[in-house]
Amino acid sequence: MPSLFLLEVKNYMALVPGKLFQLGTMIMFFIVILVSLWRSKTNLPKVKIMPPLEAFKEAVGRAAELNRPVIFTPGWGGGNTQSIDADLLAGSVLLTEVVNQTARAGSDLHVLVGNPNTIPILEGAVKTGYIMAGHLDEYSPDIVQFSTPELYSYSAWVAGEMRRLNCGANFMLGQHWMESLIFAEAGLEIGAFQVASSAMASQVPYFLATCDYVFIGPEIYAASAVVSQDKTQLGSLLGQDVLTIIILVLSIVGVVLATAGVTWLTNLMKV
Amino acid sequence: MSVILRKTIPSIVIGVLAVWMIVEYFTTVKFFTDIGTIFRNFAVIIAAFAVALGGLSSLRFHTQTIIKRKAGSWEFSAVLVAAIVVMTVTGLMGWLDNPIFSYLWNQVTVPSQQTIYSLLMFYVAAAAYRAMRASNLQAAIFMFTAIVIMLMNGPFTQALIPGITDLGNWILTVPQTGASRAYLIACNIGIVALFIRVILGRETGIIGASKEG
Repeated sequence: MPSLFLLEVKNYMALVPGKLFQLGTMIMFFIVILVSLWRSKTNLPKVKIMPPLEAFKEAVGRAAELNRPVIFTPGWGGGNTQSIDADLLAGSVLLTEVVNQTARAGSDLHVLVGNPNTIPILEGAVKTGYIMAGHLDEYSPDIVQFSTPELYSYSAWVAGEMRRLNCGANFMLGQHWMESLIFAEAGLEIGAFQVASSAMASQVPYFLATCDYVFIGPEIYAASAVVSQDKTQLGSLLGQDVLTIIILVLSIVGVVLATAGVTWLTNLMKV
Repeated sequence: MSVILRKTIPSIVIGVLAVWMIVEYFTTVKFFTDIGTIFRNFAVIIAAFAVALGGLSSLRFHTQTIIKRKAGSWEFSAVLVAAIVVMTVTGLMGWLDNPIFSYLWNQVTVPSQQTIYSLLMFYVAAAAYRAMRASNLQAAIFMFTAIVIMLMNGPFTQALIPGITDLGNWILTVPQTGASRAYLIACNIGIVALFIRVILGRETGIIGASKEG
């Protein structure tokens, strides 16, 4: 196998055409994030706690006062049962915090799943949350419930469960597609305190119109770092900001050059 | 379970697989692409098992609900369990060629799904009504643009209001596209940062392990 590998490297080692700029950009991303991680050992950036994250306690506390359960949905996730998207990963990290708060408040929790691939991750997050709260004895594998990977059936089931259970708090953190409005309207009708997230621009307006607090766009990815309070994770947020500035500058330069009729930057991106 | 089994090994596996798939994306080396294909096939097989395990888990949960006669929900669980059993058995006996499966699929599942999708129209209307409150300047701008887009798509409004189509198209192609791209870029930077943390084993929440756990 090693000799075969070396032969292949010698004969065919080449980049896929048209991906040179992508590779360069990705290497730059890695370097910036790694430098920010290294810097975080000495200079930890100050991170503002996002209002939706602060609302977790309020949502769970309100549900506990009303003696109503808490529902968490990671969303259908685009129906791709062969992969797990970044939104679902970030949502599962935040689930740990929701479980932590719920266990401390003594409320019932239901995690309603539509993508079977996420079940082990969500079960792990739920268990971790109970360990963090010191209530591992209350953990049950039945907290994470799966119904179907069919979008419409999943939507009907979750909306029905919300009404049947009369949930007091509804967390929609993950990747919600068309089901976002069905869940959010069901929660609104029963007066649940709702916290949602969406990295999909098409779903954000629905959540903003129906939920109490919303993680907009990339906030969901940063929220997991804020929840953990891990130095390395917080340091990567600085890298994100640096990358945003680099891309902003690149965009402005690109606009100016393109307006002036200079196309080398556009051509470089096509390489 | 030791920390090595629960946290270290899964982190290493995730990191190696992620790096492998990145290399495979950028290179034409057959060694990487062949093994990358094997990894993807593994993903398909694991996903199939995940669906089966999810179905069994659901069956177990709802069977227990029926046995315990849980008030307000055991009736629904009974319908669900009956549906799972009937659809599985008839599906294995010919899928859509089986008349029972075909009838249940076409006469029950498809209309039910269309009904759920149709509900969206009412929900979108209700959400739009709530959103259209000019409580501050930003909300007023939002409401104005929404009205312009609605008028642009109306059946007679294009003829009644001259220039509404041009204004609507400008909103869609200039400010809307610009804002959407900025949003998309910001999200993708967040995703890259998240996955670098995953590759480095710092985002252990995804394997159900935390500093405490």
